[in-house]
Amino acid sequence: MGHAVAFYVFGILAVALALATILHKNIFKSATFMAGMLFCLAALFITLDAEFLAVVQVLVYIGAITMLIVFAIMLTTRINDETRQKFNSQLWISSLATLGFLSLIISVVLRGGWGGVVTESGSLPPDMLGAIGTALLSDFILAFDVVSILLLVALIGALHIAKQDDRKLYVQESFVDDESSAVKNHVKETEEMHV
Amino acid sequence: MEIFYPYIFMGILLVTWLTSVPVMVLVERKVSGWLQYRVGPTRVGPWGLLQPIADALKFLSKEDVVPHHVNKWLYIFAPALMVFPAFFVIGVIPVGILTLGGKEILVQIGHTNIGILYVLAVSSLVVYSITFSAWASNNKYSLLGGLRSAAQMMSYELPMGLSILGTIMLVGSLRLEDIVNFQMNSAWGIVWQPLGALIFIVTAFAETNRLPFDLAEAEAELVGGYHTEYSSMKFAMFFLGEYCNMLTASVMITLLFLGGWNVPFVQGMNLEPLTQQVIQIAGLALKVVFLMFFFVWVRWTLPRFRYDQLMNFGWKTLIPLALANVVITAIVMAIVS
Amino acid sequence: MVLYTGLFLNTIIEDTPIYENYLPILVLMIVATLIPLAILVITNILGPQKPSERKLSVYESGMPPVGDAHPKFSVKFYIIGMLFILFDIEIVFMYPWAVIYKQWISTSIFILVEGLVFVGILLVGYIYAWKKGALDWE
Repeated sequence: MGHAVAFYVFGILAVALALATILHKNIFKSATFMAGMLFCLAALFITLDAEFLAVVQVLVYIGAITMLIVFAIMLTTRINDETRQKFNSQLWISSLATLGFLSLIISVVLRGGWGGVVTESGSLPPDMLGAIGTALLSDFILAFDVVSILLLVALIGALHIAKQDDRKLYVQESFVDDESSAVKNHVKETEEMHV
Repeated sequence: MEIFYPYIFMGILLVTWLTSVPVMVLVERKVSGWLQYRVGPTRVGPWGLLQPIADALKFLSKEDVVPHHVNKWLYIFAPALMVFPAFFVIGVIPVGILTLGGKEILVQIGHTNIGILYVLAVSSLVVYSITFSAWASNNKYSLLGGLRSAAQMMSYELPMGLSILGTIMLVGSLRLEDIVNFQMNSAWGIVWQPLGALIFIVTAFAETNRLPFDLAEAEAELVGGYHTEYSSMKFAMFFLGEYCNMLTASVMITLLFLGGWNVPFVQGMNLEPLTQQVIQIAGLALKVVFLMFFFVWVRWTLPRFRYDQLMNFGWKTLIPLALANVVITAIVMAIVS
Repeated sequence: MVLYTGLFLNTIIEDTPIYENYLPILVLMIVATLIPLAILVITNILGPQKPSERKLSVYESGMPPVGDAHPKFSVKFYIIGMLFILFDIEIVFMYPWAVIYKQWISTSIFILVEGLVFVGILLVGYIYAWKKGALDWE
């Protein structure tokens, strides 16, 4: 009972915060709402007994990724930049892509086949973390190695982009003062760069 | 009754953490005084004992200024975000075992399998408070101090995460109670993992923004850092959080590397179980008090880093050392087994 | 709730759902939210409110404020954040490996080799970042 209540409370909170993230007009507050949303997701993972996933959610998504977005915003926007473009020219393409993704998820959910996945908490292996480690090093050993190479590639790519014009990338005072859309474009670019 | 134990422990731990702050403020001022060959606070109460209460009353009675150039909601939200993780983090910290009603019960709020990671994850939320206060204050000192501090905390989180890997490999569990138990049956963690302990202690100083890593508050160049524009109790809340984090860091160092509530020879003395357990908890408290004193001691012993030195030290010295520690531990364990 | 009596290693409570152990932590979360809120409210009530133009202006050590609050920022901060994410994810993958290391190493050396490969790849990235000057802070 309490379990279900927790699930719905955090679920509804997560959806509300996600909506706030995309609808709020101050981009810094949007990032804040996103951090809150991710925190609710971590709580949802706990209700599903996935402790490790929950703690990694907080460590990586809140502690690192959202933090980087906050960094980018701090470096580029000013406090009074209240108006931001909520939609751009890619509105239709992106809504199509979103709808496609949504239908994909729904079809997967409807297809079922969750019998193999845990439904009752009692059937989880008691030593979850050991189970994850064992799985990573036996059945998913290839994935484990591919992940490390993928991260290496991401690192090299990110550094290549960031360092190629090191000197140009200082955020100039005049640049920030410019009220034109250049600032917002820059924010968008930097956000896209790491998403 | 047993259902309520976690909540009773929660009350006790919260009160301990809250009261540790005024005590720590007094100790810090007194010890700082002695180290500099002066007497420290003496005027308020006997031996200056009431100084923290006077401080608190003063903070409470001051005007709570919200300057007109700030982003109001974020500005108010930021100090709260500093205090929240400071108290939320104690959720998985065990401080001892007690025999109550014929059962051995771990003094801990929530029993999880991810102990250390929980502490790391929750304490990494502090960086939000710093960036929020920096950005919302709309002041150049705040912004610069906040950015520096955030980058510093990120940089030192990596070696911290790496430094505990060796201990985890030895114990085979992330639960703090398992780690203490392991040390109880063998030797203290600092014997097993001297390098890991050293790196962890150094990063703990950096994560709590204490000297020699208090670059955010480098008062000579940045006024006060990210809390420049704060006043009254909001200003004090940053310090409340900081002192609580210091206590948490001391407890973590004790649990991971100084044997936790393990007191030498006490197990051989054939005491009543409860007496022995109380002595052990007192032993933990004593180690923590020593570490808190150590924090103050280091503050007046080492000069502050320059910012480039700080970043280079984190990225170019601590990370390779921590990685080396993991590899050495792995190889030694392979040879021994 | 089944009380936690497993002292400690390898005796994991079988029949308790894990999330039940998080109920006290949920309560703690609420308490930890209420404490700062209470402090904020109390200080708002107790303190005097005498705003003045000077008091509410930007603090710059007593001087009239100069310029905007956005001086030049080095993109370095951003690069540090990016490196942090990548290394953080790598370290997160090492925790499950470290937890089972002790069990596995007694039977085969495979886990050591695998760990060394993982750390080795991490090291390649680290050395690349160093050589590229991303870790320099001038």
